[in-house]
This record gives sequence, structure tokens and C-alpha cells, in this order.
Amino acid sequence: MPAFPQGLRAELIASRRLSLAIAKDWRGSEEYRAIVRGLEGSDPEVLADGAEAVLAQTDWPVLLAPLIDALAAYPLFEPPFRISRDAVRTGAVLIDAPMASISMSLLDGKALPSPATTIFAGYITVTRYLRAGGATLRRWEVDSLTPGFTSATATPCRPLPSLALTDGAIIRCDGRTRSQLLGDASGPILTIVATIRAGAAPLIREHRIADGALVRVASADEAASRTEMLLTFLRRSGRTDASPRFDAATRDPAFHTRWAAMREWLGLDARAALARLSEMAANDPHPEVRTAAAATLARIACPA
Amino acid sequence: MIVEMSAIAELGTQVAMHGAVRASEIAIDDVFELIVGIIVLVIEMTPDGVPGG
Repeated sequence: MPAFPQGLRAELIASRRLSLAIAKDWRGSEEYRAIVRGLEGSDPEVLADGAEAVLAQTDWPVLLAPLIDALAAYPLFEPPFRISRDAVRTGAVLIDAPMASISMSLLDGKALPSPATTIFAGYITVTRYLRAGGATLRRWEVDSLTPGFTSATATPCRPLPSLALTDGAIIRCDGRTRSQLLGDASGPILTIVATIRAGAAPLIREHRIADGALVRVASADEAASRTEMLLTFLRRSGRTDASPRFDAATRDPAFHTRWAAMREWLGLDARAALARLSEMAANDPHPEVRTAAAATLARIACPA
Repeated sequence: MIVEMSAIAELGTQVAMHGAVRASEIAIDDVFELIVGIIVLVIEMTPDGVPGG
């Protein structure tokens, strides 16, 4: 393997410092700070109002000009964005505030997929279509999540009238009860999307477009998924000293995390878990957790 | 006392891990970061490379 050119190594190190310095200046600019101020608060509707104002009022070319200038002057400059790319979309997270983020995406309108399902993401988004590409926005509605939600009793989603998008349009979508899909575009689509984290639903729901039926449910909470994976690791490691952690996780707000924690605890140290299992069979707020706990208690009491 | 996992009831509503459903263009990155975070933690907890060791 050829040696890494020492001159390039020095340039890379220097460009890293330069990139950090330019990013720091950019984030300290009044334009940037005004956007972050517009995304403060905890009420999701108020945040969405703020995001709508930010998307409408911000002069994006002016905001990004210092970074574009830096890129033109220094080929090794790294813009301070988290970038993602696939066959259809190139996206960058421009601003990541505590309660909301703003990302910009360029989509190949002629290569948009035609999925068989639509996603209720669980959070509010506000999208400004800088270039709409002649696209149509297909939309659906579903009932709000309730604390006793089960997939067996979930109602189907319902189609809403489609919207013909125009350049500059700003569209709010409450992903707790609404979903949307881009289609029928004839050209590139350039969007700026504000994603509101506050007030997000705990579950993401995927429904089939053909008949509206619920297809799949996923956790919207990264921390809950991490908890479940770590509890599995603790069980497989035989960490019976971690019972307080399992007990705490059986009191998690997410019903699936509570039961996942109990399953792992029983697989690790059933004697320690039994009292809490009895409590869950009697008192857990979610009907499926109560049923699963009661069934498991019966199996443990009368093993086959 | 240890109960076999297969003997423990499962919920009727199966909930997939965060990021398992396409939600936005950054979902795959989120899953990657979640898994890397877990691996880093596991490595820190098992300096000898043996869980529980």
C-alpha cells in the first residue's frame, strides 16, 4: 500500500482546525442564533409555529454563504453537517437544537419510490418546498395513540385528499396522526424540514396503503431500545446483582419496555423477579402486559 | 431459579427497535449509532472480552 503523503496529512490536520473555526463562527452568527431562538420552548404546537416562521423568513442562501465560500476557497473544508445519502435523496442536518432540528434535502423527483406502506412518524414536521418539482403530496390520517394501544385493536388509517405542491409551499404534518408521501414529481425536489422533537409519540406506526391496516409498530424512543438491548446483555452476562436496574425498567413509561425488562429479569433470576411479576399481572396499566404477566405466572406456578 | 425465555409469554403487540421503520432520511444513521453505542459499552464492561468475566 502506498504511503500516505505527508504533505496531505498536514493539510488535512490544518483543514480540520479551519473547519472547526469556521463552523464556530457560523454558529455564533446572528442569523444562526435567530433560528435557534425560534426553535425554543417545550410546547410542540408553539415550536411548530416557530419553525414555520423560521422556514418562511430565513434567507437560506445568505445563511449558508459563509460555508459555501469556505468550500470554494478550501477544497478540504468540511461543512459542520451530518450528511446522509441514498439513491434518491441527499440530506444534511443544518441545525440541531434541543427541541427541534432543521434539515435540507434534495430528492430526485423522477426516482421517488412507491412504497406499499405509509409511516406515522409520531412527531410534527414543517416542510418548506423550495423546489416542489411538480410533486403531489399523498396524505393519510389515523387515530391518536392511547395508553392502552394494541395492534389487535388498532383502527386502519384513512386517506385524505392529496395536495399539489408549489414552489415555496410550507406544509405542516402532525406525524402523531398524519402521514404523507411524495409522488408524481417531474423534477428535483428541494426541501427544508423542521422536525419537532417535543411532544413526540412513543411509537412509530406503519400502515398498509391498500387497505389502511396496521402493519408494524416500532419504538420512537432510542433510549427505550437501548435499555432493552442492555438488559439482554446483562441477562446473558449473568448479572444477578443488577436486579434494581431490571426492577426500574419494569416501571418504564413504554409498555413494551416494561415487559421486555420483565422477560429478561425472569430469564436471569426468576426468584428475584416474581414479586414484581405478580404486581404487573394485577396492576400494569397496559392490558397486554397484565395478560402476559398472568400467563407467565401460571406457567411458572405449574410448569409443563 | 431461571425461567427459559421460551416459557415467558410475549405481548400481542410486537414493538420493533427504534429505527426499524423508515421514518426519515436519518433513520439508518440512528440505528448505526445506537448499535455502535451498545458495542462500545459492552467492550468497556468486558475488558477481558468475556461477558461476565
